[in-house]
Amino acid sequence: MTPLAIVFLVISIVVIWGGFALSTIALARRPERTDYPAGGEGEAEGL
Amino acid sequence: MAAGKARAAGAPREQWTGQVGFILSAIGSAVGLGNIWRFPGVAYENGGGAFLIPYLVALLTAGIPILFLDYAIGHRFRGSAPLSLRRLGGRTLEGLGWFQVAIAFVISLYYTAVIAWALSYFVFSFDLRWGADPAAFFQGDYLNVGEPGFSLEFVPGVLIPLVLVWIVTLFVLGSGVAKGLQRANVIFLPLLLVAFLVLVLRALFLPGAELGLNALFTPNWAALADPNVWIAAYSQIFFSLSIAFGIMITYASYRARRANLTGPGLVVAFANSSFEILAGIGVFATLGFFAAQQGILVDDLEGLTGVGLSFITFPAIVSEMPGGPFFGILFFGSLTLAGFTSLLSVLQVVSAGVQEKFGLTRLQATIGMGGTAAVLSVLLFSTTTGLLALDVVDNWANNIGVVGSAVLTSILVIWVLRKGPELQAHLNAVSTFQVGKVWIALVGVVAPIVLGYMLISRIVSLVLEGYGGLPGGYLGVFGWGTIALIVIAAVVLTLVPWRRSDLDRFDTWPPLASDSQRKEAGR
Repeated sequence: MTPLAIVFLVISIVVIWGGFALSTIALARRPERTDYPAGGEGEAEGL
Repeated sequence: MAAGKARAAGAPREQWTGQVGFILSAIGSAVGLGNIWRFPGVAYENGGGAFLIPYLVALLTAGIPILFLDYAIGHRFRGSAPLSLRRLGGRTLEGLGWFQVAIAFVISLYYTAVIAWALSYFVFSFDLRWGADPAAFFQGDYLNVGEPGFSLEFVPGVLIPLVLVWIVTLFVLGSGVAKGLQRANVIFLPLLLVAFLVLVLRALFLPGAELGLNALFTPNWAALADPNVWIAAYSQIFFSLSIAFGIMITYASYRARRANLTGPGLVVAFANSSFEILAGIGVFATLGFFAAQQGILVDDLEGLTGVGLSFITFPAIVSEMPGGPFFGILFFGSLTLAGFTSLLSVLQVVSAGVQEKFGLTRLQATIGMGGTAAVLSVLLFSTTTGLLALDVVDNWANNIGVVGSAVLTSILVIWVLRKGPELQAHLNAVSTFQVGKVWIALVGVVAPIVLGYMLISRIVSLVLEGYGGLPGGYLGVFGWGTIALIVIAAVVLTLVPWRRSDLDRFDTWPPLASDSQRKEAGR
């Protein structure tokens, strides 16, 4: 491969797969809020 | 069945079992045929490495914001597209919901056919049945393509896998959200990833692979000055993410009320794009090998996207490759899996819509809606005229139907009903990743401008230039006729009365500051 193509292959991977990795890590660290507003626990009202 | 009856009587809404199940199912929906057969060719033709810039801009300014909009609507108003939109904005919006359901219904009819082809080719891979001339095999021996029109001359080679795909699909839908959709995605999505990773690794070690990667990743900066390249990027992101025709509204409505929306949304959006990059590497490494074998440049290859890439170019490559059958099995197996998990989400839009409107159980909806769709799909797409009809219906349903739906949603929800702040507050109240006012601006301004331009320019070009050199009458029936049918279906289904008494007894959660202020003022 040419150096230019390699650079853009690497940038694409870092940016897009990096975005995936970062968003996944962020979600794993804080999967849910701990301070939901009151209510919303029963589902019956939300048919 | 029991769950269906209970729901009609007022028990809780079906749910994913948790966040991971939802994320896998949403990724399964987003990652479809377009990731594998559309993205690589589009990126190559629109600037190569430089395409990354408009692609990222489109992802951040339209793809993710519209994804969040769908999530917010489905999650706050907890219903299928028609029910959620009705609760959000009354009957007019319900009509938009049915417009989305009708689009999903139409797309499911031919999407199944393509999955059936992929399934056939998965089997053909074992003995390279397409022989020396894959183009002639595909159109002649396999599809028996005839003149444009409508024939009832069935092609058994398509009919049998098509019926099989419908049976499996309806079985999964009938099994429900957690035991059907989620379970299928939890099994098939990892399987797809493994199969595709093996394929990409194999492709990277083919002689000539580097020629393909050079062609795909070398940037052409001049392309960035071409508005069509930017439109191509927005269009790729838009069609790839399964947004604006009810899927993500429906999927988000099956999350618990206390559930994170934007955090998982980012994971889904980046996972979808990550798979596209992976597909770009795999497909172009393979194309590089093919060009090297023929002693030509990658630039001189034809059939780099869509049906041509998958069912003509790839079979030709597989025939030339050492260990070709294994490669073919991986490629067509991946195509089948990617398409299947997306198809499930498309049909769930329709199933959820009719279940809620007509008070049907899940099984009744699956058999009624699915059975009708299966019969229409077989009649239209397993005959000698199937390929042409598919191409035309696909072009209109997506470029006019889905894009039109997105523009209408944005204008009606953000501008006419001014629901932007409520939906923003909803996202922020339940999510870990907060969105600011800029989200409303992106959904309300950028999206309708870019997508509106795409819609109008496409309508003008279809009216003035036609499509694929096909007769105007044919395009009138299968192209514009499809849109007319979708609109008629939307109007009729909106006018039919709801078979439930609790339609307007619905409390949104969480309550917003403005709600409590209104209640205070009313005291």
